[in-house]
Amino acid sequence: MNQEHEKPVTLGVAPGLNDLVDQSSWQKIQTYFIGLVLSAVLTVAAFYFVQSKSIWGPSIPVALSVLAVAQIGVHLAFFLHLTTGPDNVNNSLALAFGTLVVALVIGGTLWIMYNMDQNMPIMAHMGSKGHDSAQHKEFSSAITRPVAAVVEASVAGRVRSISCDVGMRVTKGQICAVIEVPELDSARVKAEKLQIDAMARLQQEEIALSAALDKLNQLGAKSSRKNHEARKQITSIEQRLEKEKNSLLDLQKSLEATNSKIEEAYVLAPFDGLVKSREIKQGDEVDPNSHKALFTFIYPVNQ
Amino acid sequence: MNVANERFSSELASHAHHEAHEEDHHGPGAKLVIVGYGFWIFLLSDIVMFSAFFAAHAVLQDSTDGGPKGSELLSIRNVAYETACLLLSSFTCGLILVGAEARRMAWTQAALIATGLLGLTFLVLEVREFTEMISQGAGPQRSAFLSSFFALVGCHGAHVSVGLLWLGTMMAQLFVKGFRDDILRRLLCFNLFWHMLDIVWVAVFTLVYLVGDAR
Repeated sequence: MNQEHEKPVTLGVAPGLNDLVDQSSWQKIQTYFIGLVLSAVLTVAAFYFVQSKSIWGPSIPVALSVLAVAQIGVHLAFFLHLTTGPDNVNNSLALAFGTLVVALVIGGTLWIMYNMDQNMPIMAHMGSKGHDSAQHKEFSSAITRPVAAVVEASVAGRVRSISCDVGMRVTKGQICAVIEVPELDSARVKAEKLQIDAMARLQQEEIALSAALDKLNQLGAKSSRKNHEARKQITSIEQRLEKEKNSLLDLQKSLEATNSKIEEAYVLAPFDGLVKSREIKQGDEVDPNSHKALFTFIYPVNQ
Repeated sequence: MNVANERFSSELASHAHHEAHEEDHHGPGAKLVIVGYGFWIFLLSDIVMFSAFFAAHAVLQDSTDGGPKGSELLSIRNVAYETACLLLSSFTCGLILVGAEARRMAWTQAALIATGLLGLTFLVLEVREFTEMISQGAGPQRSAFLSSFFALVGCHGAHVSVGLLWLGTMMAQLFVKGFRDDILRRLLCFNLFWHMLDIVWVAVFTLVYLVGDAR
């Protein structure tokens, strides 16, 4: 014992070891048992506070935190045998330093993130702070229901104009952006030109037909041979007319298809809601194969 | 000089170690104390790592992205069973050390088995909870809240799994090698590790499950 001063006293006890040497095994077990009972009491209290309505709601987290700190203290004292005695200084100092770092990490994170949250209005709008009862209702029934929609490009092209911006309220079907597709535009011009040509030809054939009919009427029953020739001519004109009509119908169909494709180039709002994000700007090239989001829409949270 | 540690090591140490033991008085301290202290520092750094996960979860617990909230997903009954398992295993883990100090092989092994079974039950309950959540579409990809939940609770579960492997190894080593000094040091470290897991679990069930349910 006279060598006591030579040995660094701070390294006296390994953490986790009981330093009361005179204890029998039974007494050591008793220490662990006291720790078990105290922990169990604190645990049951914590679960009881959550389940029962006997405590004022907002104070529950505080009460739970106090119980948790108390239980951690019980674990340290009765299971890890950490004491404040001089032979435990190193263990306690290490624990104190660990606690300091934990407090800095958690406290600092919460502090900084809270400030950032406060300074971002749109995020604050979205962040479900959990006080809005209407929002509760919506979210609690919405495990599978989407509350946000990502809109991608359905055609490839260049963004011609944008009419929605972040934070804007939109109604279903509202045009948020128009995508310019050069091939589609030229295809439509070409189809329209073909249609006009076809209609002109159709008109010509109709004129020719009416002229032939007039001629036939003038001929009357004079010459059966001429009459016969005129009838043949009318039949052939009628055949051509039918062909032109069919080709005009085809042209109209292809024009409609082109037009509906051009409508796909409109980016529409999928439901009544809010624009959460806008990923494109005027002049951007978009492509459906890239599956890049153009807009994200969300249901408004506060209505 | 601390008598308890002297006793813990010297009782187990045979006479062959007597000389080395004598030198302890001039060195930095008994090997058991140094090993234990080093492992204690490691555990504290592990807790610092956990604190980062706790901080992430505290920040993200409201970021449900319209998905399910904690109070809709988490079963208080299940977490109560898990907590009971882990708390009891902490107690039986203490009995391991008492048994080792008394050199009682059967007792020590029984306490190890009890600790292992309770840890395994905890792990089964946790895995069942996770698979149920994922099958409901509430996996870690669903929202930032769930990502942080699975990261934090899963990290603790991974520690428990590693602890169980360690426990199995310790049972075999103890059986083969008996109460040797190095085995006792490992038992002490395992003991510290397991108690640390329960301390982290106290924070998990309080902050993630109970506070999450009360919100």
